[in-house]
Amino acid sequence: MATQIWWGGGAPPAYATLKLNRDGSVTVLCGSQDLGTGTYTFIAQIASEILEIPIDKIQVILGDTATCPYAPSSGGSMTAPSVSPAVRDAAEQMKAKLMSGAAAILETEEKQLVYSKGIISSKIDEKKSMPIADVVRRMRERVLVTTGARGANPQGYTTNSFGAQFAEVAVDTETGQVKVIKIVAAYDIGRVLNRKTLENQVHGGVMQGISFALMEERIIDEYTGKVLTTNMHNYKMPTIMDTPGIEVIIVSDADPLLSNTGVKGVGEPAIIPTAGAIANAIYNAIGVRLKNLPITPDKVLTALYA
Amino acid sequence: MNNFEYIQPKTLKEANKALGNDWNIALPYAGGTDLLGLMKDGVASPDKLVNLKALPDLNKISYATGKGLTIGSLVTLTEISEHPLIEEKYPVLAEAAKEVASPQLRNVGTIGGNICQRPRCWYFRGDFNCLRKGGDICYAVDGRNKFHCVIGGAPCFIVHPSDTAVALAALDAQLIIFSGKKSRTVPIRQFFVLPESNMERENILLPGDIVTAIHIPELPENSRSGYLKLKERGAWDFAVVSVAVVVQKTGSTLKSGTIALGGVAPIPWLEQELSAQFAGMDASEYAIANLSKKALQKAEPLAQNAYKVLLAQNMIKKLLLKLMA
Repeated sequence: MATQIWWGGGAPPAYATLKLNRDGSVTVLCGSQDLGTGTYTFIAQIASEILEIPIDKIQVILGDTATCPYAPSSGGSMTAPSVSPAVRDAAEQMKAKLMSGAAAILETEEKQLVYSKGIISSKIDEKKSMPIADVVRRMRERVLVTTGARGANPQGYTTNSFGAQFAEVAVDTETGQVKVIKIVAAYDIGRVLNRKTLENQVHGGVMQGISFALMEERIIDEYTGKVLTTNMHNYKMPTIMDTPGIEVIIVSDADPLLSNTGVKGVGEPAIIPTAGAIANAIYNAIGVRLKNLPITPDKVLTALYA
Repeated sequence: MNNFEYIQPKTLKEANKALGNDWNIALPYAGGTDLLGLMKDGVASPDKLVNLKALPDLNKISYATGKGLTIGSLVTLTEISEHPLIEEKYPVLAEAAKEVASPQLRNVGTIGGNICQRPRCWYFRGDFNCLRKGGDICYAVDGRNKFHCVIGGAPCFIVHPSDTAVALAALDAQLIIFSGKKSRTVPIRQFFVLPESNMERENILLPGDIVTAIHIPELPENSRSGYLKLKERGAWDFAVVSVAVVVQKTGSTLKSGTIALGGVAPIPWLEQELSAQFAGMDASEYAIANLSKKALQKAEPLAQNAYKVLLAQNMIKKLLLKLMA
């Protein structure tokens, strides 16, 4: 096995603008990006959950900082922990605006109103009830707009993600081949925003970790300095036939101190421990430490018998 | 890749004529899975490609009891790997075909092309004016040579990359080659050339020659065969080392057989002396282990590929044990 510690708490500045249209649809704009990690998905999820409206009413627009508010670049496990709080803040501000507007329209004190499933109703008069789209229209608005912000990180703390991966391997001591049978990956990354995209990220990171441990090597001819692995068949990467079973375990809940979402990033953590876990498993199997990556059959045979 | 003229002959004679007598001018094109790569790497720059796929009767498989199997050179690797007769009577060939590349490449790649493909050496395919391309030195000798040959090399140290060639060498197959006026038959064991004879070609073909068919003789009743390939990943990789074995076994005794190795030499490497020891050998784990240890006795490894000798020995043992079951 091998462990990892990485940062991943995110940071301000990061902003998200939320627009509630008078037909009840929502647009969230953010200068962030989706690299395939599911930014579009979690932003829509958060808006949907806080405003209690179906997710298919939500459109997310990313990327263009001319029209969307600032958000950090995607790297260093930054996006989810920086952007999710801004989206939540924008959605909660929208909810507050709607409650205030509804109080005036329904001639009821705010504290007598309840917000549920996109409808604001009076607790004391069941005839007084209004869906949020109608609140917008009755306020004589076409669009309501709020912009949320990522707050400051807690003073006096460093935020880290923590993880460990366990590798089960089989080493054929006659051919030197290493087969990864299973990887179990456990993480403390605060709140899980979307289990599926999180597991996908770990699957991808693990496969890259296996690739790093067992296959990838940029080979240079020492006399001429020219690269010899100039294509995808000399520079080897895993195929579906190299994929082990991968189990993902999350040991954390929402971090109580970090932000209003308690989310930490899992971008890099997915790949960090894999090669170390595999190398340690190989040592456990054959009693030889191989530290030079990639651990290819020739290296295993040479280590065992030369 | 430079522009080229694409010629579509309708008969073998037309194809031979179109090919002319200079590989710099015209090259034969079947599946193209190796040729197009050579052209994109700048190793081949013909003015013309002569398409063979429209030629009639080069894509058939036929079998006659007592005579053996005849496979047209344009038959795809997928067809060979899935053909019930080949799986039953010549499993070494079906297994070797199945080990080639990936499904997409096997669907398009032909057996003729697989046998005639050029080496994968990263100096040959790269920006190096090496011996095989008419230059002055072999860069692998003092360079990065973990994949290069351990026997039969010098002054060039390529390995032959074909899986099916190793299987066919074990099967003592023959190639039928058309050279314009007539066809001739060449045993595959004489088809490939060592660098000491000719550094710039891997086989005896001359410009204009077209391999039209492969003939595999009938095997004795008590035959078993198989192919084992070691790759650095689970699929889609050339052999680090491979083994083809054809043996005849009666009861618990081996009568005869052939071992051929890939990934160790510039040609499919027959371990003739080793194979001779099958006669009357006990089919036991002990005897097989002893036999395997004698493989590649005369190997002369380079700085980074000595592991291949032990690997080949272990793979011979593995495959033989598997075939004895």
